[in-house]
Amino acid sequence: MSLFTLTTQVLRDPDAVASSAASAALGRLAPPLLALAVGGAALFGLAAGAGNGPLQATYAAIKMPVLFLLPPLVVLPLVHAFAEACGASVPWSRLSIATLAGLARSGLLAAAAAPVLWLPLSLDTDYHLAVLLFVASFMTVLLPALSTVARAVPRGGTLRPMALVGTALTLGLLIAQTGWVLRPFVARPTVAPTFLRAVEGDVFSALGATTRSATGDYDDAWAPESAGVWRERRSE
Amino acid sequence: MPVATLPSLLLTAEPPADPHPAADPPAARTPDFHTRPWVHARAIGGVAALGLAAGLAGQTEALARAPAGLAVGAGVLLLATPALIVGHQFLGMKAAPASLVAAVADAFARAGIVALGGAPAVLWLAATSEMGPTLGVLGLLGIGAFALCRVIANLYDVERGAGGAIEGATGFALLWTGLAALIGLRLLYTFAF
Repeated sequence: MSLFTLTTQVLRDPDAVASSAASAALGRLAPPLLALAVGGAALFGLAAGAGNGPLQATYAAIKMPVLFLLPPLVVLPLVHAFAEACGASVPWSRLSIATLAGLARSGLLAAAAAPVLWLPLSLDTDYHLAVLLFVASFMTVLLPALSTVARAVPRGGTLRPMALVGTALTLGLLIAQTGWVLRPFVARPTVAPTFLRAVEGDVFSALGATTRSATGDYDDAWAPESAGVWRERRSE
Repeated sequence: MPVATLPSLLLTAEPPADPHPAADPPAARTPDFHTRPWVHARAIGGVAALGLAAGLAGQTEALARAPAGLAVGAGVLLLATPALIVGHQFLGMKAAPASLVAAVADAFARAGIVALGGAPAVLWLAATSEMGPTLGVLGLLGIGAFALCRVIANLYDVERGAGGAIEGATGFALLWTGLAALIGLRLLYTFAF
């Protein structure tokens, strides 16, 4: 009953939930909001991986909440810092609960969108088209969360458009790279189910290779290489 | 049961706060963000943290990259601020030199706070890819642009507050910002590559 009430409130008026900025409200609301976000994202992951069998679906269901939660949480300090630097300070408690409310709302939308995503993926859709469908659905259900966070920051201040562009670019980069690190969600039909691939290159190197391949240029073959902190550990 | 009549989880003793609260009141004519407690430490720490995070992937380079942003920021302040004060007084504008220094310090402190907020994102991206050094440079360019835009706004405000001519102040602020940007780019080339 209580969770149902919160669910309807998150869907109908997330700003009202986000405005409960008191620490007590944060402590009371954080667990159910987190549960809604994680549960919804897991269902969405289940649908994304379902085309490759139950094992890949389970893997995707485990990873999807991380992709859902990590980029917004990592970008939160930047949102707070930009707000402070622009003269429109927002308390951490308000920002935190707005983020959770937004993610819970997006989680519920993701759960509702899961069958919509599953339907084409279950019909032997081409792999690249399946990936595009997955990315488009993911971004569509995540947008309401970002909108809720944006509305939690007070209006006014100086250089706000610059702050908005900077935050959006950073968040986009974080989502792309986190998705790349946690891949595969939609696996190639010929590949055995995999939980995580090795950390190789970055999302832009793969996009470049895909673009070259799409234009018929196969000379500059892209070979995956270990990247980030894992690179040095492997070479040791 | 209609949704509106369902008991609310959000009922508290206090009414919910306004979801769209107003921003801080308009800034005082002399910018004072840099005078707040701990702002200097957070700003300096933020720029250092950004460099440190960007160097993480090449771990041995991390400590070497950490002071790059600080060196660029300090260099711009040392090399460009005298031109601002001297040129401003030479052209007969009204704002006091102390206000000009406050305008620049305020902007750089705000940019340092933004760098601190961006450091976790750069840390995550640097840890999972080879983009760290590139992101470090782009991050410094971004916060540099933010700082210089804020300087323009602050200079405009202090000149208006002192009753000076707005057109002249804006043009002068743009010229000085261009000079500071060129100095910053030159120093970035030296320290970050």
